Amino acid sequence: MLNLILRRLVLFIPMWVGVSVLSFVIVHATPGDPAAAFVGQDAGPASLDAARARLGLDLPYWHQLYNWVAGSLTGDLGQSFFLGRSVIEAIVERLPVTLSLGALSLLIAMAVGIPLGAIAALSPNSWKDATSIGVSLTFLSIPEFVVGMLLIYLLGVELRWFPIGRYVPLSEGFLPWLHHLALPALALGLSQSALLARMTRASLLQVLRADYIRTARAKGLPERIVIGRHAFKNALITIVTVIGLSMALLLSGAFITEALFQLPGIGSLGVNSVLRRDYPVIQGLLLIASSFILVVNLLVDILYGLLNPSVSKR
Amino acid sequence: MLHLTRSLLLASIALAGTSNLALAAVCETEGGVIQAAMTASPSTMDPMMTTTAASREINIHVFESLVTFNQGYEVIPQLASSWTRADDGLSYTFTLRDGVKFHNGETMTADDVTASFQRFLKYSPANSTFTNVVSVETVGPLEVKFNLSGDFPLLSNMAIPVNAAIMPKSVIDKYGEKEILPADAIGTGPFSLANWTPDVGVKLAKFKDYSQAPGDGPDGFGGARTACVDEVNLLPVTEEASRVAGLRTGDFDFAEALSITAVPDLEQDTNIKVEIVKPRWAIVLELDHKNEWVAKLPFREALLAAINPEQVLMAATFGREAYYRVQPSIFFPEQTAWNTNAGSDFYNKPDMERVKAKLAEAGYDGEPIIYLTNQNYGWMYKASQALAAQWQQAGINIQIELMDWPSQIKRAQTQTDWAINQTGWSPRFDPFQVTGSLQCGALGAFGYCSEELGKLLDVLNSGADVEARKAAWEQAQALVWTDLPVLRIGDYFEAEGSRNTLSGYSPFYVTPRFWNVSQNRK
Repeated sequence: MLNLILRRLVLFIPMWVGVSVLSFVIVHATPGDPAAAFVGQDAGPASLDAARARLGLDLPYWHQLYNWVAGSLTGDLGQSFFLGRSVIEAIVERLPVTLSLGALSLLIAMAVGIPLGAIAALSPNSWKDATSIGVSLTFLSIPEFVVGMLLIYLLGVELRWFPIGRYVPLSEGFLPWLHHLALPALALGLSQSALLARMTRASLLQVLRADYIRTARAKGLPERIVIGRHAFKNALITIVTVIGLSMALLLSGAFITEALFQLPGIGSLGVNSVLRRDYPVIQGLLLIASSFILVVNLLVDILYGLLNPSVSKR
Repeated sequence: MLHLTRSLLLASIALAGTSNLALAAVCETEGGVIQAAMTASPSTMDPMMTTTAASREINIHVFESLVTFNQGYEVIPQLASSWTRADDGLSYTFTLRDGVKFHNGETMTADDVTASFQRFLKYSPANSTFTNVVSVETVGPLEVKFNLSGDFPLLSNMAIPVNAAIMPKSVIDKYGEKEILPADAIGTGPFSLANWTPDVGVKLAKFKDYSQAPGDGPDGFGGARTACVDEVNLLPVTEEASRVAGLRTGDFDFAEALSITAVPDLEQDTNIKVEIVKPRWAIVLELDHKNEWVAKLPFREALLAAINPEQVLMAATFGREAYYRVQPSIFFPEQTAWNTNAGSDFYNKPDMERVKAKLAEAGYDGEPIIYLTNQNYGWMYKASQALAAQWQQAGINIQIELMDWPSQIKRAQTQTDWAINQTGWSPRFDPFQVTGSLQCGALGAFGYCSEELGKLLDVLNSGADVEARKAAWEQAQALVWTDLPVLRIGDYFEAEGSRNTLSGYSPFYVTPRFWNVSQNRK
């Protein structure tokens, strides 16, 4: 086991370098000039050059690449061109927003998706099944920004139940935080709930056909216990896996949702940085997002090893 | 021999007319907060490091310069009370208003102005038009002298809001060439910078000790300005749907750049006032004169003769007449100082016979003409669709290439594989700002070179008097329409909206102004 972890950790270094180089190449291959975005359209060529020098863009390409990769290996992701702070600071500042949004939308996804899937599975091929799967399919098919706009219009503009956008940190109170975050979390959570509902239904249906459920019923156990204690518990394994998977999807969904609701999180940081060509921030975000996936993969492998010892022996 | 400008006289008359009674009537109510939804986020709080529109929106509230523009786009004094210009045009001496306070409590002196200008001249991206300024020196406690190597329109250059911001010498000394941090972004404006969180918003707070310039009230970017509210929050809301929704719910008191399609709904709402911002954009086509076809005048003439501007503008505005204007002047009709129709005989005269004749004269036989456009600005995209259709119908083999806006700018500036570049010009304050698009050798002229136009631009870039510059501009624009360095299609407007609880707001230029605006919502 320890061997597996060590092996994977060693592999981490070349991967990190590879991702650093790739993110640099991708970002610098994009046309556009951060210096021009910074100084504005009235700037003369001399001040454009001065701005490029200030941002370090006058250095040869290889020199810039070396600085970036070497820096990233020591944890220094550089300074943002536009935010007046380091990339790490900018990301750390915005992390609470994205984490809040992610957590709340995951809760919503679970609160909506699991019951919907369970209802469908418990009465397969009935009108309940058709309705709940229909509802979840609808949410799955509509893009997040459309759901977001509809929610803004219905719950924000027409009914005035929720404020539109803006983030209120948790430190200013739980209720204001929740009130401001509810709409974006709904927009993001509802589309995730669809996936969860479908997986819950499939998984629960499979478990309900298992021998031990038949045995439990034959023993004369009340249906409540058969479903709650035996079926649902076993179906949860798949559901939890899907929840893990949707964490990554939530991050990508945050790019659109945060921009729509003006939430200053990682997603909107990404979008704005691309639009103004804030190279260090885009590179930093790419690197951190890929590392996040690498870490999740490592954790999954470790978990597999724990669950199935034959993996770690291989 | 020096001669006194009329500004001194104007200023003293205006001073005499100011009374406390008049000031009390300026604000309908005092106090409160304005939440304004803006389209973009500024990249710095150092006014001398950038010239972007997003920064200008902040800077006009926080900083002031020696002079500024009034409602008619004429230069008026701001921190200066008067100035004299040497007869040879090689020196200007400014007298400053006495007792003007900075946000940090210091009183402005000539040393602050000298230090600010020295930093501006050295580091600002807007300094390229100031190359004739040799030195700036303090010649008295409230007197600053500018020494020039050659005559140029110093005052109009200085008046561009607020590139040459006046800041305390202590701040200038502390930072030098380094970017001034928000905590030290100290000016003399009616609002001070209270807080800036990038991408979240800028908070401006009323400056209680604001030293108002003389005048009967606000005028353009200057005049007697008053902060009626305690706080203005400028929030970057990039999604237009969110700006509209927030305006309807009252989360925002003001929203800029509303799309034409959103307006009918907003107009139904009795709590909202929608105003059309004029001037806003000129739909313009930049031409690459290094291109084999564009380089030929008959080909450019054929391009113009194929254009029906009204159809293009209708396409860009969903046919809503209030949002476009068919007019040829580079300076908009609102800019009375420079507006002229000179030379526009062939504007808005679509003529297929002329197109055919001109294309034949150019020897054009259907080679592809690359036309760059983007969807970041929906109106540019729609205009380019209509234009491409008109040209194709006229037998010009137009090929549209769709890009994102930053990439389009970069390609236009660095490559020569295109012929026509779709763009939009925001209103220029003064003809010297058009130089970058028309002068031989300028990056934005894309290889265009005309000796005749160059000579006129020289007059416009000199310190010649207003009448001489006006005459030169008239001839310059006439040349633009006959030699066609660029093609101007017409005016495109955008709407902005405010809640009825705001009083005193009126659009000007393209930059919302929140002084003399009251918040009546409790």
